[in-house]
Amino acid sequence: MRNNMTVNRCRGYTLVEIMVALAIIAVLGAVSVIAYGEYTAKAKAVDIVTQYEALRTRAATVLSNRTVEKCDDVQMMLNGRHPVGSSHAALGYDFVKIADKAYRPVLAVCGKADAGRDAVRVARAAHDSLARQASAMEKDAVLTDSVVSFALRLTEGDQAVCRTPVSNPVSPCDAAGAAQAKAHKAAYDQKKADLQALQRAPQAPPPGQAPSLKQAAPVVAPPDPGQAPAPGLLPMKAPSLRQPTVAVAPPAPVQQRVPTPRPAEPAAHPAQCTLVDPATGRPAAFPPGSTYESKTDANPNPNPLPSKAPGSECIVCGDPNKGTPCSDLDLVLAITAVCPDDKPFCGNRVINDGGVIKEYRMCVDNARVTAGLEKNKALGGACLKQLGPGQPIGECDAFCYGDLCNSDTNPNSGLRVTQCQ
Amino acid sequence: MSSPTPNDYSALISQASAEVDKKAQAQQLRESRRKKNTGQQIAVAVCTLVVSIAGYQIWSRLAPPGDKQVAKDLENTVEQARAVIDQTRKETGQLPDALPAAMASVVRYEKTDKAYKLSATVLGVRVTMESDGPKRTDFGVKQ
Repeated sequence: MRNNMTVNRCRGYTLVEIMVALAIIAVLGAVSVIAYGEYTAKAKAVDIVTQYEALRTRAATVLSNRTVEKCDDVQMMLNGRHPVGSSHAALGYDFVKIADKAYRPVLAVCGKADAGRDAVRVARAAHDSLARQASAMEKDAVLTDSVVSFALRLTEGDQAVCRTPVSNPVSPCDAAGAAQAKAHKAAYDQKKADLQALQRAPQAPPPGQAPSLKQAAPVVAPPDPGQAPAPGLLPMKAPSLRQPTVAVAPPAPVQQRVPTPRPAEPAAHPAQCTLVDPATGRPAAFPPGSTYESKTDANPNPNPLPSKAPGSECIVCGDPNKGTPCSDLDLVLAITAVCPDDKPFCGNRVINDGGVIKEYRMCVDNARVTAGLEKNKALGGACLKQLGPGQPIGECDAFCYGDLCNSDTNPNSGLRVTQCQ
Repeated sequence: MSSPTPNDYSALISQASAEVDKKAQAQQLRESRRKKNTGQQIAVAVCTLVVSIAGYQIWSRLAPPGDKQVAKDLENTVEQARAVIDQTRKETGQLPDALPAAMASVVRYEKTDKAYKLSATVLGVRVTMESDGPKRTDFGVKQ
């Protein structure tokens, strides 16, 4: 009898036991889901926080002590080649009116339940994270379960950044906000395509400019003394002649590169630096980042410049044929184009037109580089240094080879072979 | 028929006593079983409640907020916007040109000379308020 009872008890679980087990599982599940939700929201919010901090830094660079006419342009300047946006919550620019014809930009962040609970949670997590920075948060944030909306300051104090409000203001929370971001991207791509087409078209030197270099300008840097830096190096950043616009670093370079240390004394061109295509006997196609040796006193017999090489990715803006120089916006946006093979070099032309500095950035061909170098050599002296505001009228050409090597007014790399094997 | 003997009485009393004891034991057993059942029922109910609460918590994390919740949130937001407008009007004597950037993403603000209209829409719930009128909540609105 007793044995029978024991056997019966071991046959299964009672309802209570099952329910207790279920309850434990449910509690653990709920805690896990809530904790995981908060964890993922915080992780996604990091993207917003990072974008905000990058934008604030960028705003400090491109907008410091200047007032742009159109707030639309400020939006473009801040966006650069990477429009602000997040797949988790809506981001967009807004402009706070601080006086008549005086606005300053803010970054509006919005998470609505329409986009899912996740959007609200992520926006809330971003708010909580940024709320610690007292100077960052605009007042009157909306924090509810259905919608979270707040704005973040992009500039210090009440500095007026632009005068004309945006032509088509949209809220980042609206569907129109996403459409505007798309339109911005399309406009940027269109501008880039136009400039690329311009670079590919045959380019005549601007009338009355090319043959008359009035100022001496060996923009060619001395060649490297045997020591070959790693390929793909960008030149040292040089200060710009145009203030304050050109002082802006181009947004998001393709790759972070280490500046090349420059020797004080030029040395003879080492023979082992010759890159020759065995088939043609001419210098081979140099990989991006290489630069070409130029004729200098220290190196009177350099390799001839190749007529064709893989085109650099250059900053391109302005149209010398039409006499339309790069605008402030162009220089800040720093739109790049991959140059065609027959114009593999990047070239910067700077003209001091009665105290107004005009700048063009373009792809250039071998013949133009050679001619420019000859003239620069003949004229001697630091051309670009004499082109500052208030200096006599003059013009300078600078050339370089390598991706984004013309991001500064004076590329400072000259044309040198830096990859010697 | 013979009269019962004292032994017969004794046996009868013993039998009755046994019966009473048996009944008392059965009663006690029933009582303890009932208590045990009640405890089990309470345990099952508690467990069911815990499971339900946990399920609700999970569901509420994943599902969108209900219309009433949204309406309440939007009403609060619109009230907050009205407070800002009233404050500006008190300070400057004029209606503000725009709402603060933090609110402008959510609340639509339209103003005429002396009147204004605020509206906010989330998940098909729209709360509208005019400067001289009460709040109005509409459900099932297409954005």
